Amino acid sequence: MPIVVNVDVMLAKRKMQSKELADRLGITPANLSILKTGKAKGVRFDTLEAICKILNCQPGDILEYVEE
Amino acid sequence: MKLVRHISTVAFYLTRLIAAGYFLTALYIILCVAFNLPTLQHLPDNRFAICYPFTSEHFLLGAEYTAGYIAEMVLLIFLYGVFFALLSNVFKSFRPQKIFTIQGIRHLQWFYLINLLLFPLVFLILGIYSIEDYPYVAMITAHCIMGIFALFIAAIFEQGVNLQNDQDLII
Repeated sequence: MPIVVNVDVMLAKRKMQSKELADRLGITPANLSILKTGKAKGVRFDTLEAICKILNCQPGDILEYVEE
Repeated sequence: MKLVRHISTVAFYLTRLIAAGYFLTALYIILCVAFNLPTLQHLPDNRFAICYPFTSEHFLLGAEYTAGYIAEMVLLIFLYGVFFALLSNVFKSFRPQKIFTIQGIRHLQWFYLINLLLFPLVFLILGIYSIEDYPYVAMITAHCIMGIFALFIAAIFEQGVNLQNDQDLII
């Protein structure tokens, strides 16, 4: 998929663990893993908003378009 | 959905009970005939009756005491036991919180296969060879209609499972 999810990169920049992010988002670590590995079919605006708020970043920092 | 869940729970236990009744009746006939139990009564004109256990009150009446006729009787009762058992599985599919499941599809597939293939075939054979005068055409039609409905519900379930899987991947 040409949309790449950069949650891992932002987590590393913020020195935060996946589990902590999952806890704060109120989703399971398994679902966060689905998002991080690009297996997700979509991201809800609510989730995106919460990720941006927690990681103090913009949606563009999380999602990136890479031409295949 | 709560109402559907309640109705399906009641229907599940009811149909399971009916299925058990049919299976036990089939088994009871076999036992009566095989061991010539006192509950098996021979009537005039080669007819017979099977009484309720430990009584002399008639439970089942047979038109002809022959192996073929008894086999037909047991087969029909057993088949309706299978029918109600499969129907109870269909009702069971509507009980969980998550309705659209692979198992639900499988239950519906068994139900429509038996209604669309097995019952019409059995009734067709019985219609040709049986001495009993059942309304076979009506029975085949009824089972086919049920089978078609189950087929459509199975298709909806398949679509539901696909949509649910997609939905599970939206975080």
